[in-house]
Amino acid sequence: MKKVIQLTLGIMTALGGFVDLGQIVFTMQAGALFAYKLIWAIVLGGIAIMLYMEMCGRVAVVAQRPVFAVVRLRLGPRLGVATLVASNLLNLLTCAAELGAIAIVVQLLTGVNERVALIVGGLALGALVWMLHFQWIERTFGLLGLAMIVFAVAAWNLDPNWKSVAGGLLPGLATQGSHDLTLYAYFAVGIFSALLMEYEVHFYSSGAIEEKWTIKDLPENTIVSVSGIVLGSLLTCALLILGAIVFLPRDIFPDLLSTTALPVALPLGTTALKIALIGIFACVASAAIETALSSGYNICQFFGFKWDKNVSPLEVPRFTISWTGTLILALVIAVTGIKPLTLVNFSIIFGMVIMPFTYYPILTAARDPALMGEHVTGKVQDTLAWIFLGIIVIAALAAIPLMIATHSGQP
Amino acid sequence: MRQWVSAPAALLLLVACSGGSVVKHEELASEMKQIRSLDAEGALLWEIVLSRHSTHAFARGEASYLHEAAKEHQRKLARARAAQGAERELERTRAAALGLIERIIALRLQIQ
Repeated sequence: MKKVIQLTLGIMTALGGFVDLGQIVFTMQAGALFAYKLIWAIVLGGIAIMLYMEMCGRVAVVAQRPVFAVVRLRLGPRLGVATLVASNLLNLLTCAAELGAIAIVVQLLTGVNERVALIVGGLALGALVWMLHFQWIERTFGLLGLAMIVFAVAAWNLDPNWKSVAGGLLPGLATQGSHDLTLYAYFAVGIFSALLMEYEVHFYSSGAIEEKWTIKDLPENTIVSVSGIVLGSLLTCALLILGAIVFLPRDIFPDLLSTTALPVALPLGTTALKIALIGIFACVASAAIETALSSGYNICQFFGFKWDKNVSPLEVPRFTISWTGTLILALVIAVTGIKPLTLVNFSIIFGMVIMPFTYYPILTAARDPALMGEHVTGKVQDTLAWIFLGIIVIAALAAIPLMIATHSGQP
Repeated sequence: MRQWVSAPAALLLLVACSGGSVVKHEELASEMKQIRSLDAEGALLWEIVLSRHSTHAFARGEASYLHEAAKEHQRKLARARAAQGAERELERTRAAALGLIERIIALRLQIQ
C-alpha cells in the first residue's frame, strides 16, 4: 500500500511539475493560430521526453552519473564546458522569465504591485529552497501544480469537436501562404522544444540521486516518467484546445500571460479562475526553482564538486553559491523589466539549438554495456531514441532561421 | 584598439539618431493584426467581467497589461517611418492604435 501511495504521489508530482511558462504560452498561441493542427507536435515532444527522461533516470541510478557527469564523459572537457555554459545561460534566462511570470500571477491574484511581488516573491522562493529538502520542494510545487487540471476541465466543458482534435494527431500543412507555413513550422519547433527543455532532465536525473534510488526503483522510474508525461501531455493538449476554441474565433493572439487564464474564467467562473492562477503560479515557481537548482547541479556534476540538496547549504558551498547566484542574477534580469514572454521565447528557441548536446550523451551512455551492464537500453527504445535525436537535430538547425523569419512568432 | 571600440559606438549612435525603423506593408499588416487582437482581448475581458466570472484584482491587472501593450504599439508606430507606398497604411495603423488606447482606457475606467 505504501508503495502504491508513493507511486501515485510520484505520478501526480510529475504531472503537476510538467507544464511551464513556455508550454502554457506556446501551446495556447498555437491553438489560437492553427486550431488543432499542431497536436501532433505535443505527441512527438511527449514521446521524446518520455524516452529520454527514462534514460536519464536509469543512467543516474545504474551508473550513479547524473546528466552533466555524462556530458563531460561523452563530449570531453572542451565541448562539455561549452555545453555547460550554454545550458546554464539558458537556465538563467528561463529562471528570469519564470520569476517575472510569478510577479504577474501574484499581481493578478492579489492586486499587489508587480515590482513588489517580483522582489518579495523571488526572495521568498530563495528562502524556501534554502530551507526545504529536495523531496519537499518537488512534492509541494508538483502537487500545487495539479491545480492546472482546471484548464482540462474548462476545455472539456467547452465541448471541442473531438473529430477535429483527433485530426490534429497527424501532421498537416497550413496552406494559406508562405508566412503561415513558416509560422506553423516555428510553433511546431517551439512546442517540441518547450516539452523537451533541458532543465527538466537535469533536475530529474539529479533528483534520482538525491532521493537515493536504487536498481529496485527502476520500474518506478519507468512508470513515473511514462505516466507523468502522458498526463502532462494531455494537459498541454487541453491548453491548445482552449486556444483553438476561445481565441481563434475571436482573432485573439494571446501575447500576455494574463490572457491565458481567460479561457478558464469564461466557462467556469471566479473560483476556477483563482484555481487556474494558483496552477500557473505553481508551474512557474516550480520551473524557477528547477532552473536555479539545475544550474548548481550542472556545475557541480561537471567539475566533480559535492552537491546535495538534503544537507545544510553550508556543507555544500559551491553548490549553494551556484544556485543562489543563478536565482539572484535572474531576479536582477527580471527587475530590469524585460517581459517574461520575450525571455521565454528566446530561451525556448535557444534551448532547441543546444538540445542535441544534452540528449546525445544521454543516449550513448544509456546504450553503453560497459557503463550500464544488463540495464542497457532495449533495441526498440534505442531505435526510437535515435529517430528522435534526428528530429531534435533537424529542429535545432531550423530553430533560429524560423525565429528570424517569423519575428519570434508574430502573426 | 581604439578603432574596434569607436566603430561599434559610431554605429550605435547612428542607429539611435536615425529615428524609427522603416516599416513595410507586411509589418504594418502584422501590427494591425496585433492591435485587433488586443481589442478583442479587451472585449473578451469585458464579457467575463459582465458575467461576474472575474475577480476585481484580475480584471484590473489584465486591463492594465492590455493598456501597456497598446501603448507599446502606439509608441512603436509613432517612431516608425513608412516604406514607399505604405504611408496611408501607416496612418491607418496609427489611428487604429490610438483608437485601441481610448477603448482600453474606457474599459479600465469601467472596471475601477
